[in-house]
Amino acid sequence: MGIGLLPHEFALGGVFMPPLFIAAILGVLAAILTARMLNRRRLSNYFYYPPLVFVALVVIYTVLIGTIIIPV
Amino acid sequence: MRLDTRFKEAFKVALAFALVYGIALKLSWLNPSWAGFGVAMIALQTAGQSIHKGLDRLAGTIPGCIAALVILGLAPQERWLFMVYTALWIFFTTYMMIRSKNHPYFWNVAGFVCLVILLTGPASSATDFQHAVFRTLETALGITVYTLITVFIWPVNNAGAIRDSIDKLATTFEDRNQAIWGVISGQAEIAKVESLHQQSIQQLGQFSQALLAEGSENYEVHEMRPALERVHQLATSLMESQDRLETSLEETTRIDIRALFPKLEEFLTTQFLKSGNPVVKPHRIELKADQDELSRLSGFDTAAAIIVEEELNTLGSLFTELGNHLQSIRENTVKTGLDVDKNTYDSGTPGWLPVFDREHLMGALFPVLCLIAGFLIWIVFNPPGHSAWLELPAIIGMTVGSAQQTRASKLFKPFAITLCLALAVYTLVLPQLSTFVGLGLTLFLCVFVVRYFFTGLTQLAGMIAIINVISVQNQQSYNFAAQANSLVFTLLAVLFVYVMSYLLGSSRPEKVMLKMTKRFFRSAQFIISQIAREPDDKPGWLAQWKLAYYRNEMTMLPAKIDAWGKSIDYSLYPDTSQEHIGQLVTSLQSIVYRFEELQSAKRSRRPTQAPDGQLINGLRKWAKELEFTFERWSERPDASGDDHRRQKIQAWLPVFERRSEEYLRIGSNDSKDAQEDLYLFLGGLRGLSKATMNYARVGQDVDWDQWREERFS
Repeated sequence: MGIGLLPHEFALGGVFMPPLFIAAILGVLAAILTARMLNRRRLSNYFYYPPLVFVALVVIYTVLIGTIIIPV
Repeated sequence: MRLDTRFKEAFKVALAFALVYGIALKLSWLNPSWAGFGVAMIALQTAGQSIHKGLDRLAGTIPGCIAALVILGLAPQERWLFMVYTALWIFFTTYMMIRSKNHPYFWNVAGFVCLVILLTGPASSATDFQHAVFRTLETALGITVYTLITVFIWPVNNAGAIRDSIDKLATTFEDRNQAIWGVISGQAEIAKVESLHQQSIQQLGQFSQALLAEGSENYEVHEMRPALERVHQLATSLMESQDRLETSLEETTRIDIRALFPKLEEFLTTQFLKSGNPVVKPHRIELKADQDELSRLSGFDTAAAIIVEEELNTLGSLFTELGNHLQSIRENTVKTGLDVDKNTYDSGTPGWLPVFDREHLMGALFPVLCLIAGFLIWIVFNPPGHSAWLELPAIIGMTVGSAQQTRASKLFKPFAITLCLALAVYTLVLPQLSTFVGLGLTLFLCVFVVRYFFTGLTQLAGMIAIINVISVQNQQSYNFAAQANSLVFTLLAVLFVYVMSYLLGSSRPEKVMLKMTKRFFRSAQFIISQIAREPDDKPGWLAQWKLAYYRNEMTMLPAKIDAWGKSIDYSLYPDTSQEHIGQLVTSLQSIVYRFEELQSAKRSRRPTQAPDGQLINGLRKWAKELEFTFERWSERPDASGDDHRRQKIQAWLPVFERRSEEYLRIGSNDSKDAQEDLYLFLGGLRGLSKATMNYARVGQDVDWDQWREERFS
């Protein structure tokens, strides 16, 4: 594994934040965008209970971002 | 330089805030932020409103402190018993907060103060008592300082607010009478009457608030409170009477109302409530139907005319009584200590049967669930915030539970922004200060900025952020990690309450309206099934309780549906407009009124004998049809799939009218009163059928299928 893929904290003005936290924030934002797009196309009608689907989307995006973009 | 109101209000609150901190720090009191909370929570636009809220806060602190001390005394070392007692107290105070019309804030304070005292690090019973006393003292300090500032610096009071609101209400009632006459004479549209109905509801609410606010700052108004409450009660009854009259007039489309009631124009256009109008002294016009015209009408039209006559005379009595009451208030001749009669609708069931409101119960249960879940999170995971998980989710839960239309998700952004700004001030500005001059100026500026530039939830979040994050103690120390953890905890708590709010059901207003409409028809189905029962079949106490419960549901649901309807984002549903929802609510309210008329007629007389029993069988079949219709609508409120049933009821109505006319002809040996009772009963049945068909027509305008669609909210 290269040095660039090692998990590391993010520093903001001396305040350190864990990489999972950043990945989770990005995951939530991505899930919100997905939800808005699904609403606009009326595709959310096919889900039985959208709030749970939203939670699932957050988890999926967090895992994907944590694996590919921000190593956690 | 002319200063605007917002500047003055922001200045006063900021000044009071800085002063209470100065006093509390100078006297070395326990926790100056409690005094700051006192100022932040009671600062409202007028002195009267602030005084009223301040008194509620002070009075609510005392039972909250007592409850906390009792809970700590009863369960000092048993965590589960401690939880049970705390949950019971929070349930009770939240329920009372939702039910209370005049003092909801009192109960809110009683609830959260108990939680605050329970968690202020009790090391011994002496410490608990000290915390309770200082909480009360500092709350009183905050209220007193703010009250003095608001009374002496740029005072804004409610003087004349009650008089203004009564004048506006009186004008609306008079205009509504004129509008009703306009509709009868064909000169006005029904939409004008409906808009005046909405106006009267708003003005009644403003009158209540003015009564609370001006009553708190004016001794004379406080003395006359029983008389003014009677005015409020009469005004409410008058508004309801005008509502009933409008729906009763829908039954008279076949009748020439003006010929039937020759004095109707004079009756409706010369009832005055405001002084300065031509007829200063209210006078009663007795309205009687012209007997010759009445004798020409069919049985059902006679029934409709009798109902309208009764309603008009009720309206006249209320106008006269309210006018006389207002006259005596203006002339200062009203007797103090008036007994305010409770306006009870005789439901025909024993008064001892208690019925609960589902929304109130759910609202009261919600903070309890947040409390218990928060407690479990604390003892199992111990996340940032620690023991505060017992307190903050329950406090936010009380607010969300009492105002279920407020979406908990809306709290996140204001808290996030204001907490971050407050943390920046705590980290960068406060460590540079060394005297109270600097601290006082900083607090003043922070509060001024929040009060001047922010409104609504953001303003409230800003005040809480200033008090909690910029926490000031006499032995001041700075701990960035603790404050950052506190910020993370607060945001987590808000998210937690948002997730828990899904336990209350969907947060989408259209889904809530759909459920409530189904509940409405479920109630209607049960009530009509009771009407269709055999005469000898007396209901047991359980059936009586269910009847009282469903009747209460039916009465309350149209107003709730109307309130939720105002929260719908109509841009998402272009096929449904606010007017459609208004018509839907009016049609549901009309069904309620018809049921009430039927119930009051049913108790006096039921047709028990028919020449061949055909009429009785016909009535039972009719009731069964309606019961089936309501059952269908309790599953799917849209009438579009029910044309067959509606046509059946529509076809059956003329048959029902013919059979009833035959019966009435044969039963004409009965006394006049008995005949009148019979007309009312049969007319009530017909009125209910027509109201049902009206809903079927109106319901088609709402796009129910789109409301049923799932979407991310």
